Amino acid sequence: MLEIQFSKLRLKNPFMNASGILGVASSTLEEVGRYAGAVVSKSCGSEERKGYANPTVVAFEGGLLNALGLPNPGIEEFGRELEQYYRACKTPVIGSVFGGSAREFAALAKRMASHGVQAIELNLSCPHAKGYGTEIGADPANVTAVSRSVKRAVKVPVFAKLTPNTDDFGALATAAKRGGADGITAINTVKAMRIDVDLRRPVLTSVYGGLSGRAILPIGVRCVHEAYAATVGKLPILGAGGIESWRDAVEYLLAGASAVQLGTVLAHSSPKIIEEFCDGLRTYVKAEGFRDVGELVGAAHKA
Amino acid sequence: LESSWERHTRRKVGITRVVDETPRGTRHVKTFCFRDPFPPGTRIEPGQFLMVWVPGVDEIPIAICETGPELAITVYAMGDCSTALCAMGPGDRFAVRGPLGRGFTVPEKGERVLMVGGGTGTASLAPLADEMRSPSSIDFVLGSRTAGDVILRYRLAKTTNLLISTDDGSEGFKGYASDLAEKMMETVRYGRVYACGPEPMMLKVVNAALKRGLLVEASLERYMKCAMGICDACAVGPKHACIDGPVFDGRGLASWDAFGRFRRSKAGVREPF
Repeated sequence: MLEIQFSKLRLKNPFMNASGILGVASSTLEEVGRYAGAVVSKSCGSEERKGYANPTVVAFEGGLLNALGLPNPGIEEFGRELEQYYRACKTPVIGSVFGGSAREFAALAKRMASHGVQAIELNLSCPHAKGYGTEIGADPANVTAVSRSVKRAVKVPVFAKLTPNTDDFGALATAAKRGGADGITAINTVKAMRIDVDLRRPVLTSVYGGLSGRAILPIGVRCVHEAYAATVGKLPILGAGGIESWRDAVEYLLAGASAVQLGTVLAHSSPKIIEEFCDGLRTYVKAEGFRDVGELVGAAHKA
Repeated sequence: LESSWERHTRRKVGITRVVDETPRGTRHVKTFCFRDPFPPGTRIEPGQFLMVWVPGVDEIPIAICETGPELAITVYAMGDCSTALCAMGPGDRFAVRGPLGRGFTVPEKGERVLMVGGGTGTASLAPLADEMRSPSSIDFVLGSRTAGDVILRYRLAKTTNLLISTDDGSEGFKGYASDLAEKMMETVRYGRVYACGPEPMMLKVVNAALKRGLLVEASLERYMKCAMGICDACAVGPKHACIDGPVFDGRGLASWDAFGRFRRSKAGVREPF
């Protein structure tokens, strides 16, 4: 009842972690994989990267602000983590990559695919790393170019993770589709900042960061709704942003997402919470008279 | 959920007192005292830690080594941030968030315990000895490189039965703390064993205790970023040192390949000990 086909991936349920939440260590990725329909890796680049000095996170009642600065062990080293993961877990992996150009993205995706991942997610939306993410992905022409060059390089499905830091989210979704992307992830974090009033300085070392958690749920739902409308339901969407309960997940599905990613909620609970979400979702599907969860996708557009 | 973000609120503190722990030692270790900045009623378990932010430098996890109206942290000048902290004096300010993580299990009354502290790791065990208020039931093995590096000796001499070991034999038992600890386990029937210090030392202590069927807990040191269990910097097996630790049960530790073998760099690369 919760099984869902997402592009070429067969998922046992529509939940997965969001990139950057766990997914550096094979052992924690396995823990997510025990419960989730798929797992998403930390975003990997060509070289090992330390990221910014701390503070890299700020927590407050509305959510979480982070500017880690894309720390990652590099695409080669990460292959060794994946090798260990696959020895213990069969849950499909979506490998996230970030590059500074269409060419770099394609090379990284090829390398990631050679590690055995079932799909690629393109990080076109990190809001706090110079020369990467949003700096590239806020322009629809770049989204098309990167998607196209990666599609030529790999056989596995390619999902573009898009930024909400734009005036026309639908245009970004259309741009990804035009480039041949098999799906999109909506959304990455929203660019934001906090200042420490006692020390009178920005908390984050990089000053600006990305906001996640409760505060951005309505933004995510709106972006998914816009993307679904702009692509007339023809482009599969992974919804993400502020999901803290199965009801929040249903909201994303109704807006047009076929599956959802969990981020900040995993700071408060272990991946085991996915079991609870599955129970809630199953009960809802049954009680509302649907046969399976797929029938909910985009249902709010028909109302 | 509510209390979770409050724990991660950064609170400015001013240093009231600094103690040089190793005036004649080979390494710089200092203890910094400051007023407890947390809301009234905040309980601090022995073994919990703070994320200490030195503005413009870094924010690192440091164990709380003393509680009361004033808190204290003991810092070994090892990296950028700890070195910057050690250059500070009374009146200087930094910020902290916490108390974070899971601490040590306080033993039953009358239970005989062995504590094994290696170097600065000693500081996270000191509050457990304070909480127990039973010096005669605690054997404390304090390991250091040399006599001048022994920290917190006067405090621990009051709260425990203190046994010093030095690598160079300049004071007490000559050799590693883990060797002295194993000798103690051979002669005394302990209810529990606790360890905090260099990880290869803790691996030996945990194995020695498990071999004898003893309950054992060890406190791990890892670089941390979020300190809320999502960034994976401090992943140990399926767990995270920041929220599931830093204190772990020895049986879990022994089953994870990371314990005593590797930690992760800031980039997430495995670094062997």
